[in-house]
Amino acid sequence: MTARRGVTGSGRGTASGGLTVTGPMSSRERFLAACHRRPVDATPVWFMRQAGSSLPAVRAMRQHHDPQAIALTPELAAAAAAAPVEALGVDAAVLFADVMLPLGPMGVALALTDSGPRIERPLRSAADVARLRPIEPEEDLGPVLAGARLLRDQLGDDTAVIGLAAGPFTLAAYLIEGGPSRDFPLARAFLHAQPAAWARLMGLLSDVVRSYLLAQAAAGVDAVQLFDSWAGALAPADYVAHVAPYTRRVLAGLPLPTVHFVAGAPNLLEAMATAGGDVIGLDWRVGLGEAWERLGSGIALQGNLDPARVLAGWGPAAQGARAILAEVAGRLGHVFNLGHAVAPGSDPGVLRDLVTLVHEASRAARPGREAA
Amino acid sequence: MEEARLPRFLAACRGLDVDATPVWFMRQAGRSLPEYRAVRERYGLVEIVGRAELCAEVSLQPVRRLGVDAAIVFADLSTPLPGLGLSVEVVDGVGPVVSPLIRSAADLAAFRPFEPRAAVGPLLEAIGLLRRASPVPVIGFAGAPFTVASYLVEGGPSRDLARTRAFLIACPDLFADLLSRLGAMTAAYLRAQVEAGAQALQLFDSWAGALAPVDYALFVRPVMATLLADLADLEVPIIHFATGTAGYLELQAAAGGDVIGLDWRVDLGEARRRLGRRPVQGNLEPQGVLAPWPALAARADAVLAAAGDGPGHVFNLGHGVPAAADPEVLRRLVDHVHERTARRPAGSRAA
Repeated sequence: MTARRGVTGSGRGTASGGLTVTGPMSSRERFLAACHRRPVDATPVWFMRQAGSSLPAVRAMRQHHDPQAIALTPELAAAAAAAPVEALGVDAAVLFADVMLPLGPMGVALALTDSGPRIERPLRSAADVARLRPIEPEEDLGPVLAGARLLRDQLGDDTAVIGLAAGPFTLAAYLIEGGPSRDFPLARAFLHAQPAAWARLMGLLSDVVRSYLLAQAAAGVDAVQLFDSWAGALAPADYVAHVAPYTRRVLAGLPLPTVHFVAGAPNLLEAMATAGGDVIGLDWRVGLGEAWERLGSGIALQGNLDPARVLAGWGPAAQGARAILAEVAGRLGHVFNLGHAVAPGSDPGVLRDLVTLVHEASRAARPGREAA
Repeated sequence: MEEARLPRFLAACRGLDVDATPVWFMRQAGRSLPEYRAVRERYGLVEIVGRAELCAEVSLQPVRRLGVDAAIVFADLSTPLPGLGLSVEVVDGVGPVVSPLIRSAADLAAFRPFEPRAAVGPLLEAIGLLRRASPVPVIGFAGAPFTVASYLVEGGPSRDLARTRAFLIACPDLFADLLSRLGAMTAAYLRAQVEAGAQALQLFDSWAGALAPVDYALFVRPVMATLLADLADLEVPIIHFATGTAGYLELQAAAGGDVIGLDWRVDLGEARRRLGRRPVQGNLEPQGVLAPWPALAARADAVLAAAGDGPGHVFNLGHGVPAAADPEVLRRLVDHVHERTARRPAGSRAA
């Protein structure tokens, strides 16, 4: 945990070139190197929604506090975010903060339930959009940022800290739909029937998301993931015309590595990559090899074990993880993750063993490296 | 010259020249039509499907009002399941709720042999009535085995079938057995529909897109290939529709089907390039019908442009008609597609 180990942004200490043989790395170095497509000693691993109730430390907390209370109490949020680092051995901690939190200070009444967010009065008109307010992250989401600073202090320099936000489309989709949906028909209808109100909404949301991510960067996170989880519901032409420009506005020139995740979007890979992100996060429905073929090897990829394999047990999980590493075939720029959030009911033991498997198998596969 | 007399819908399914691009809409018989809503005020879904005259009438409503080029029999994907001994309740906004759910080999062994006349007699009768009354070809349909299997395993609403995916990964042999039994049921069900008068078939694999490509290849492709091969002797065109399969269209196409039905999430032009000369159906964004007319017309034109000048395109939405759709707009859309694609008589245009 010395400052010497710390690497911020784009890789101090590797100026001699990408193929420099690397000794053992800290988790943080490993994660950031993979985001920048530089050599790593082993493939970094984290899991979306890794701080779930299947971890004893988080479960104990959940007995007394709901997720929103945890997220808005810095000590609890930092402890919940740090729990999987200890329990699972992952290379990165992720802020414990529901991606819908920025909607509250925008003037939206919402409830975060176990089945997802519920918006009390879904947006129906341009007038509804006009009532939404921009946010001031330090004032409006201060506890989340305080939790991020605390987490950074507690973890020191060895573990990566990832910030997060929902993409503008995903926020808009919830605001219009009112809650979770298979393919967000009301949001898609709004986009088609009220294009001007849609543009105004997306403009406002992209400013909100960008300012929130910049505040997280200032609080000390190493990288951010933009969850545009539901953009895959769109026709490609609509994504390009009505979503990608706003995603670009959020991600362009952020002062830290960005992971751009969209679920169910094999149709949108190229358009997503064009919209931004140093790393493209993939769900389980597209092969990593195919994605690299389509996007070129100049971009890093994150993913993409089917979370159902973890739910099914160690055998299917291990088999799937090995298949993914084989597909990566030693390319630079792979962050191992599931293709979506850890499913409720998943065994933390399987997750922990997956981390070990990925570290060891990827270490062994690197020619000319000493075993760590 | 025999071919010239084929209705344009059947000709397009065969990849033959047409006088104009045929149009029909998934869920064209349904809540967007006031005359359907009037029927629904008095009868439930199961009742409509269970009474031949009512079912034929509801199926004909969109042909009269919208001028579509095909009628599709009104039924639900879960309609044949009681024929296996399962109990089904169709819950509005949720979909079919089946019991008992499949959890073990014993649950499969308890299936009754599927006998179409006993299981869906009135529906078959409705197809006969529809065939006699309809000025356009009649489409029969069924849920594809994987999609039906998901109703038997998932046990509730889901966005991405997490339980079904975990089940097929944890119990691959049991799941394959379930698929193959559903494949046999579906073959018998569709065969009976053709014998009753259906002139084309559509298989709805509405949930296939939840799978990883490797799992689609391992589980779904073989059962679809067997099913489609089983039906080949019927000599009616079969539309193989799936949603969310943009990542593995080639696998979907390789499983079979005379026409590949596309959802709105894949670019039709790209699909044409990836699928070669295979006829395709689709794929206007369904929510696009709620847009102001100029925007909707532009979208329809974009679909037609992406489909290109060659034969083998059936115009449809990329999924079901939204309940809020205006029938006047749907009618205008049908006319618009016909006008934009009107061609000289077959034979004067190079394929």
